[in-house]
Amino acid sequence: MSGYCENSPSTSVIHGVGVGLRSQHYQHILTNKPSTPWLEALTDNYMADGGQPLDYLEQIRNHYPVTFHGVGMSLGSPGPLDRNYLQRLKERMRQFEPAWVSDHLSWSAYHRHNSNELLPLPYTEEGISHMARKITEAQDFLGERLLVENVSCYVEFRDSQMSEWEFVNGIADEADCHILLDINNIYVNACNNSTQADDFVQGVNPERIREIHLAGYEDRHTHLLDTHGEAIHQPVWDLYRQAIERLGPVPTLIEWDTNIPEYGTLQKQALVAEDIISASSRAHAHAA
Amino acid sequence: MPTLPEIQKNFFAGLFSRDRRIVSALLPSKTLTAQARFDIYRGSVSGLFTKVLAEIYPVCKRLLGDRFFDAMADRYIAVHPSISANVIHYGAQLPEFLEGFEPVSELPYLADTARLEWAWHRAFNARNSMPINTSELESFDENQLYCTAFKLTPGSSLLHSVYPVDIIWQQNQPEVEQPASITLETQDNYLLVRRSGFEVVIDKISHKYWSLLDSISSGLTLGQLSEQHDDMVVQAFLVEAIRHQWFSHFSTINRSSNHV
Amino acid sequence: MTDKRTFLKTAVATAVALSAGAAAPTAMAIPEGMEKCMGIAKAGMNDCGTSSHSCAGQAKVDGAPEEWVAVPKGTCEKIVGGKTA
Repeated sequence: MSGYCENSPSTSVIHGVGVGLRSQHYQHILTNKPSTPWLEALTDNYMADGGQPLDYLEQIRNHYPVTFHGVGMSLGSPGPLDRNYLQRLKERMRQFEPAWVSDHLSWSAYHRHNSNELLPLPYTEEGISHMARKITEAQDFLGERLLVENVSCYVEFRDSQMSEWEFVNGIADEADCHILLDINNIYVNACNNSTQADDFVQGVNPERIREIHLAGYEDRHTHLLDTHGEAIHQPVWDLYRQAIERLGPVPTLIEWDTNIPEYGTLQKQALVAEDIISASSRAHAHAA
Repeated sequence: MPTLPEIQKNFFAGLFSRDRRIVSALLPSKTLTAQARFDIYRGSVSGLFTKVLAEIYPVCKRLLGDRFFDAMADRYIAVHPSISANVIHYGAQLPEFLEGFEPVSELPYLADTARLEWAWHRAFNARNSMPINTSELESFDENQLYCTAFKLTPGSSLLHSVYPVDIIWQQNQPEVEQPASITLETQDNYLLVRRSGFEVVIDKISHKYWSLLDSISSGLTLGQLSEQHDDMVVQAFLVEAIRHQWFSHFSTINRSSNHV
Repeated sequence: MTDKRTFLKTAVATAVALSAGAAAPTAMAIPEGMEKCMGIAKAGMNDCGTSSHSCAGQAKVDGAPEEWVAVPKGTCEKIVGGKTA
């Protein structure tokens, strides 16, 4: 049994389909107060000492529940965790009370240097215990369970001993953390690595999943690149439908990071996801 | 089988150098060799830092043109790796780098333009502050005022350039579709880059005020300033400093150094 | 010495009084030493995305020899006398 608090009291307010908060939409959101149920802030964009982005987030937080999603924890790095980064994150958690905090199952830093990129690890027992140890350390420092996200991966290590979903499950169990399931990343990896996306969705531990991410990849012909720069593609919607069938109405987030469209386009994507959730709920109610 | 630390060491080395040891630990896909797959990461890292530099230095980018800027960024990235988990800290050495970068030697104003852009970035992300409480300052007696030191608004920078970098900066903002021609005359330009609320403001100021602000930022008290400068200068300076809210904090630094 | 103290007391009072109308600086003539104040606000830095690859939308194809462009082709051409050669 772990001693973590069950995230923040506001956890239960996160439901339905949220949208990733981007600076291009601050003004729109504050002026129009769209009916989006929750917003996800990119933690790393609010780590400065002060300034306007933090002020916008504060104003938006007054109207919406938020979750925190970051890229800087570098949970798989060889060296120690970056205490300054975690300390600043903790301050921001106190300030904004996100329902939960997530980061990625990857590494960025190599001792003093940083690639600021989400780099993969081989899927091995050694990798599981290495990452789990660091997640546990981060959770102990922050005082709550983290959500960790499966990343898009462009290489395959010869030494991998298991599937990606077994790796993810193993880490989540050993670190006693939650999983943020990125459906787009599952699809991108399945295409790039010639694996079965369905296996991941059917194999991942449903008990640990707290959130789902959806985004659009870019087809580079020899591979798919996870740019978050297009509408969500049909095969990803199909995979999402499967996931919702199996997992139930998990809070879902629409992410869009390059060629960011107007907010209405994101809301339309969110509607498609909501329809999938409702259809699944109806089917289950009918079957019951 | 290589250990995890070995894999990580080689992976990281491969991102930033010609070291290709990692490739033997990777599998090809149906469409790409192991090397080509790893190169996706190399391209992504280079693209990320280039984008960060372009965000912080948009004026330099416009001056140089996209292709030149991107090529320059590659060179910079190769010699200045990121050392922070947050890219907000990346790019601080670009002005110095440009100074020694031969392909831009014909653009002598470029490094100072970059300095102005870094100062802007620094101010934008600085700690929030309030203007000083002037009634509190007024309530000080003569001796207290004499020993009063001020702090410039957090994130303020004092810049000096012999090139009109403020005009160059202004003419190369995105809303200026066609920058006006600028004739380079070398003449001293003194700038204060600072935050005002959440906005970043660039003040072009006189050499005199610039020096006074420089003295204040290194801790000189009002008394010390008044001993070094004419009363009229100090008087006019105080009017401007208070009106434009250049200070965010003051304290008397006498023997007991009691903070206000 | 005492002069300076007396002076500072008056100077601060004057400065506070004169700057009271700070919100409307145009009402006053631009004082000497202050050529102009450009209160230029620029939009903030854009965010970097969550998939860090999203920051690399324009990811360069690596492995190919670096394409080096010898001559800047931007607005520096508008700066006359900018090239010393």
